[in-house]
Amino acid sequence: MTLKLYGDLLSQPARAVDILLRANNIEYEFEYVSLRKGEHLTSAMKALNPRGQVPFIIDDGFVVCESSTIMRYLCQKYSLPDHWYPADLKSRTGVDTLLDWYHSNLRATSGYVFMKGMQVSVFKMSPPREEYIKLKEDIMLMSLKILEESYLTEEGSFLLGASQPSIADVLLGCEVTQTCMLDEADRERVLGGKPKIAKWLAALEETTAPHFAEVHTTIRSTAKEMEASSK
Amino acid sequence: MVLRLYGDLLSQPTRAIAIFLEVNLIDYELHFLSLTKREHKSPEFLAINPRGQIPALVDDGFNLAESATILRYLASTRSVSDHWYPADARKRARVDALLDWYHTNLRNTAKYVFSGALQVLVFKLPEPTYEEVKKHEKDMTDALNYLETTLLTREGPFLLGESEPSIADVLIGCEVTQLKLLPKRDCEAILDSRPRIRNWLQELEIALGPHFARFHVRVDSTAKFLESKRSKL
Ligand SMILES: N[C@@H](CCC(=O)N[C@@H](CS)C(=O)NCC(=O)O)C(=O)O
Ligand SMILES: N[C@@H](CCC(=O)N[C@@H](CS)C(=O)NCC(=O)O)C(=O)O
Repeated sequence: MTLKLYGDLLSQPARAVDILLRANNIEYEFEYVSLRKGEHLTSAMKALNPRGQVPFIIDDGFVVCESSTIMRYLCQKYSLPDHWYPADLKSRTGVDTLLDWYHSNLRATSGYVFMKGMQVSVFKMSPPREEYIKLKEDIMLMSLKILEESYLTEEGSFLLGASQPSIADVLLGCEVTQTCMLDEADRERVLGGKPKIAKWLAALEETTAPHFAEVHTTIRSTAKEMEASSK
Repeated sequence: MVLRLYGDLLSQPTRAIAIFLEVNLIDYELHFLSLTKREHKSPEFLAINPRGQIPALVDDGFNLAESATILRYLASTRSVSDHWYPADARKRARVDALLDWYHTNLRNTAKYVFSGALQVLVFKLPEPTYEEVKKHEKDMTDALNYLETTLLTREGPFLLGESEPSIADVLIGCEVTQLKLLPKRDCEAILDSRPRIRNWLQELEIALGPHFARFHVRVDSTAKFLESKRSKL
């Protein structure tokens, strides 16, 4: 049976998995699960994936959730080119460190962008509390600083100075691109003065072309609609 | 050069790595860093882990951080039984998914225990707000419920019904034991309403031998200290 990816391209980790699949010409079907309509929480969906989150994949009856796990699994199962998840244990450990660091650090971007740019306008929920925004904002800004000053270096275009992207580049990259949902002034405040991050995202888009841009069509057009409706 | 582990036994992930090393008879030295004295922010330690967090590991000049990464690395570089971190793609994905789930879910136990039990009495920091404690409590409760109802099953004693423990059992188990630092009746109430978790902790203690108890001595003594402080409040 064909591999299935369940997700919504408004979700950062779903985009990351989708890009990895496309960039490697893996045959799969995309099953759209609308987060806005709460489709990830229906009982039919929970029967497939008790976590009730996207992304997840079903590979011949085997359900895998957690984006980093899915990507590691795809690398092993399809013997993807080594740079995605290197076999050399020191390089692999570098990628694992980034993937583990992500959850309690850069992933805060998601919470911040959701509260500032989506909760009310896209998801039609009541506005968030200022303290909650601030909590996520502090962790996000610290994490972006670490990306800019430590994890991106002059050596290579990708994380930890690699010359080709790993699955961590794709996952972390898709988290940073979520900032397109912020208004321009806020986005500038968050990402301005971080030239390495800008260069890295451009390099990621270029090496995985046209997939990176295509997978970002939904979020980028949602961002444009929001901007137009706010004017 | 012998493997060096940097950490504090009040830190859940440090305990997990120390126990894993002991159970697998891997030679190492434990370098104690006091979190209360902020030794994890010293220039010497920041040279090892620029993130300034414990645990950290040094293997012959190679510096590692992030507990799940360290456990994967040890299971891959040392000769240990396959059940800790299976080579088979599907079995491995099951363990990886638990490790990935942990960070933004069960790890919230740490935030609750810290704000509710350690922040003021041990770290001498200002009181957390009521909302903060409530938020951490909800996040922790959601994760513990998922652990009880979905990750622990009737099939086998370990996570996802396995018959032998994986590195995820050790990491997640050492997080749950942090509940001992809460007022005793709160900790008991949490476990009484979750019999599978209680049973799983007992199984872990058997599987991991004396090391599990030995590396929880500091948690136990700190729990006693906290109880006596609370009784004087
Ligand atoms: N750690 C998970 C996080 C997945 C996640 O947070 N998914 C979000 C969308 S980006 C979701 O499904 N949220 C709905 C919910 O939690 O109810 C991963 O990396 O896959
Ligand atoms: N994701 C990290 C978390 C490590 C962590 O939070 N360590 C705590 C002690 S348990 C620490 O060093 N806290 C001090 C700090 O963050 O400044 C891991 O799994 O190793």
